[in-house]
Amino acid sequence: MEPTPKGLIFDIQSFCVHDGPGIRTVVFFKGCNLKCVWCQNPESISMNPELSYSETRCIHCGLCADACSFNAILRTPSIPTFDWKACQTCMACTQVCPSRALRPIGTWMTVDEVMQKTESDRVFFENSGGGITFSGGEPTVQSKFLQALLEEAGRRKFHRALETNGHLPEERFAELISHVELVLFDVKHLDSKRHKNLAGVGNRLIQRNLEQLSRTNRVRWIPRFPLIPGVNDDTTHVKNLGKRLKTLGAREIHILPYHRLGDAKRRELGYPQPDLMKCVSVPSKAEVAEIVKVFEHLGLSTSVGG
Amino acid sequence: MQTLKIEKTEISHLAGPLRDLPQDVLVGISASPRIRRLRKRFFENSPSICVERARIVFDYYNEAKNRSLPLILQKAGAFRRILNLIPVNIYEDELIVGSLSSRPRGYPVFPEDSGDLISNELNSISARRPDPFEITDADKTELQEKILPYWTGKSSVERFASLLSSEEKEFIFSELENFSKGTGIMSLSPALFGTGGHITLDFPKVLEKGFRGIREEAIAKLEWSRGLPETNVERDIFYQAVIECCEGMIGFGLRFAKLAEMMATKEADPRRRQELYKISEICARVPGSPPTSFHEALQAVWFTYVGILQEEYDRCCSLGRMDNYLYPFYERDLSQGVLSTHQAQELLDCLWLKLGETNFINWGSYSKLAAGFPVQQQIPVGGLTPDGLDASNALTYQCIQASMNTRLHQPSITVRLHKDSPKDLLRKACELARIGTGHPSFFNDEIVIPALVDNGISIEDARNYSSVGCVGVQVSGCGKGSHNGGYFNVGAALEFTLTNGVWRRANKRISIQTGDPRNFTSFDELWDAFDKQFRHMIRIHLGMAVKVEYLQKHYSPTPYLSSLIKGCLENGTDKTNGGAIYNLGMSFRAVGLADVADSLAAIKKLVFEDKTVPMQELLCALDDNFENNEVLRQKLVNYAPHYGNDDKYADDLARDVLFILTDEFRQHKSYFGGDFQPGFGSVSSHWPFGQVLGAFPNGRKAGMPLADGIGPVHNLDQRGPTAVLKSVGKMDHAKLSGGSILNLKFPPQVVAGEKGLANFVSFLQSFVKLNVWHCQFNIVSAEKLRQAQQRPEAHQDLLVRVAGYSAYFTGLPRELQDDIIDRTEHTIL
Repeated sequence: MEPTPKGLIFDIQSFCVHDGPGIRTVVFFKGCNLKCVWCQNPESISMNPELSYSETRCIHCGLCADACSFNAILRTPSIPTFDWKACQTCMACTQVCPSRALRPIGTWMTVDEVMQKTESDRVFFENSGGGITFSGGEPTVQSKFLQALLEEAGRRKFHRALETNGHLPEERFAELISHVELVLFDVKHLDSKRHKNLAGVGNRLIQRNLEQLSRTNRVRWIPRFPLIPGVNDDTTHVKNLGKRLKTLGAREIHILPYHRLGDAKRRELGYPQPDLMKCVSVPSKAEVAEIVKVFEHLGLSTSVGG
Repeated sequence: MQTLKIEKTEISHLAGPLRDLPQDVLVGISASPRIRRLRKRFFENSPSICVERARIVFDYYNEAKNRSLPLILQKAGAFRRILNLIPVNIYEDELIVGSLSSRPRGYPVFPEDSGDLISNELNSISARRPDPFEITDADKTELQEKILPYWTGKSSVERFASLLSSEEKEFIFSELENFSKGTGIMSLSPALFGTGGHITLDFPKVLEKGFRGIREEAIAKLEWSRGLPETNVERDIFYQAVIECCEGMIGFGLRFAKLAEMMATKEADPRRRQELYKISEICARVPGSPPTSFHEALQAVWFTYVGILQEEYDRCCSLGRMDNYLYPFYERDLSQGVLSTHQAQELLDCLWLKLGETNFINWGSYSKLAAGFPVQQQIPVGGLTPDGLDASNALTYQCIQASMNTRLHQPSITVRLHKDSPKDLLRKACELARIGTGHPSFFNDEIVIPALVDNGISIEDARNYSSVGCVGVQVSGCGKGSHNGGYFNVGAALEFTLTNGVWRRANKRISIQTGDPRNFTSFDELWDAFDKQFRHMIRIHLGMAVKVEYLQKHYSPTPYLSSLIKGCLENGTDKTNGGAIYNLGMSFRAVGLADVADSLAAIKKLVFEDKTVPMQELLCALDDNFENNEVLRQKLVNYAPHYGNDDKYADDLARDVLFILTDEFRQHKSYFGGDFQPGFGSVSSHWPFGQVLGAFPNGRKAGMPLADGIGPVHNLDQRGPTAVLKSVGKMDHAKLSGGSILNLKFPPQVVAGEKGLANFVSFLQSFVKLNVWHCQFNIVSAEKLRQAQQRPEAHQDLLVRVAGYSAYFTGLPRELQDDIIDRTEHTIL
């Protein structure tokens, strides 16, 4: 008999209103097969549980240093210093930290455990036309678990939305989208070479999956465009992208303007700031409005922020 | 005022049938230039103290012939004299007239109840924070040296103190510092002023009969009473008092008629002259005779209300279901073409602005319990009719719009929701909510109505309830009122449990002994001790409440109010003497549910179940205010479950605490044999109530505020407003007819735009389904975010929401907080 499937989940968040229709609960899968330089959920990339340290919560008690068997934490008169390379993510320190400044990111959960958390939000879904959104990271990386979760959510009559980068084998994609009502599909850059520089992979597979999606009548889909100034926002690119999406039958698009709310999280995980992003700034309202105009002109109903 | 942009794709699932709602009412008629001018002028005036009422009353009581009258006739006589002599003013641009004193935002003093206790306060009242009042030196001298000394020793508070046992004195709040070394564990302040206010009069009666009609009714009753073979003195003098009050009200209106006419003859601007002539006509008719138009009806309501404010210190009275009782006038005038929806809006806005001018002078200690000029004049709209049908109409929408147009801290508008409330109404209410003024309150008929029926109210009267005070409910026009019986510090019961009856702050035993927790071997033993302490406190507080009612009966009759409460004229009995149809006991605001539930959860889990924290260590840390044990304090905060996160462990304990409250309350009856009404609400009393308590096992440090209302501890609801609503929904609200306040904070991004409005509406529909009693929204403006930057510890529950991301604001580094503030400022709602 197969063991109960488990998924590595790093958050389940209620009262989300930018990740699909209505009031939703978002299940964040840990692990991503892309490496987008602008990613603001850095804790979502690795397929392993990770350690996060928050300076603002730390009370300088030093109990973590005492608990560490790998000399990865050193006491100091103020905040401890971390040797992230020495850390073996045994999480012993998280069990003694009184203020939860040290926390594990990512828990292995069964389908039932996830469903229990979402079930309690059902009353909010009912009135608002909301449901569960599967996001991350990239949920399709844990493809078997995702499917089991989608099927169970379907049995319980939840509306299911999937946020995905679309980079997975076509047959798998076909199977997974047969279990959702809405797909929120990231489109980052039309040019495959550029796409590879920015996200770690080219976009040909992604494009094929997008085409597949557009041919499916059953599933509603909305393209999502992360707007990164200087990277994918020049007018020609935006126009071409819009045209391409129109050809595929898209009627609307969500623009997600670049933000830097994840910078703090990077520090908490001990990640460096990617060089490429050091010169990228948050788009101004005017810039966003320009992009909206381009899409709207092409006949795509545009919303900003999801 | 932004016009509503309705996107076609969204409306189909939002709008119910428009029925007979005029389109401009649905969209909203914005404030007229007149309203904008009136509003601006409001802010140009600061609250001040006016001596005139006190002067008139002083002269009245000093006349020899008045001194020999029975008290109720003195009250009526003084009332009539006030209405005859108080300066009358009509201010520029006003359409609804009727002031409280000689100058805008001037407020009266009520020495008949407050005695001379306010005398010392006058020295610091203009400089104090919160809630200062200006006063001229001349007025101050007159009050302190001439007027107030007449009432030395005659205040309600002093009389109350004379009835208290020494044990009771220990518990009471520090306004009795002169009479006891009060601990601040409970406070009965609201009930000690006048007759406690918090009442909904029978406004429809004024609209139906006018005060001439009510006077005729009282005259007929007096004749009948005198015609009976047995003389009933109390009844006779009650009717006489009512007659006199009616005379006062009739004359009051006529004084405004005369003033308006005189002003009209001198008015240069022809438009204003016309308006003044119209005002004169209106005031010649109301409130003596029944109104014949919507404008007259509004004026009659306002005059009636001014009467309440002049008779006694009766704060927080409700105007009742205006959208229902004014509807026939509104509808008739509109259909006959004598009133437009724009005119109706302007008139309502004028009335709203008048209500914004009401205030009450608190003394300093009460100002801390209820800071921010709390006046809480409720106007409930929507809800169910007595027959159980939806009661909302076009006037409901215009009333909500009036709050949007005037945007003052008063009146408090409450939207009553039921499971079939029209979506249009919900949308309108949400549009008001997201402006960020804190209005409206939302009440849930599905739970309120059964709670009232449980108290012995008929189903029709229960459906016809009015909101009153903060989150109270009561019958409309037929109940005794005096709703807010004061504040009750549940946190103290926990402290006494842990200290065996000792009040930490003074290191003095003031409660019963329930055992040294070091000797408890199980959580059940601790729970039993808590149960005993809590019930003991409740008994003391309710015992004192009965004494307050006794005093009100003997020293503070209110014949004017009683003339407008069903049952009083019929029985010939003042409402303070039980004349109303319903005589329920007061309602009480219990404070500290979340801290107590969380503390009990921490003890149960960490001390008794996991055994990771020895009781001895916990108690020492509490004694020490965690000075040497921050590690333990953090553990208590982070390793124990918390109420407000939809977590069964903590929520069950909260339910159990609540059960003790409601169960013990049920075992006591009020002066007239009615049920008392417990509830959870604090206004701002969770601050001073926290100040008098030591450290708690949920990690709260000594002196820090308790959680407010029925909500969670501020930094401990980690799962957002849906989880809070789920937790609160598990509490047994049907037994808390005193109401329970739930304040929810929302970032504006969540309710922005058409989609945000739709989600807001859905959230409220879930609120109804989850049987939560009340909620009120704090839409977090950029301003509030800046405050959170300065004081993060007070704002740890502020969410940030953007697509695919979430954080708590206070956890973000400074530059990101600034970024979010910037976004917030630019969020178009």
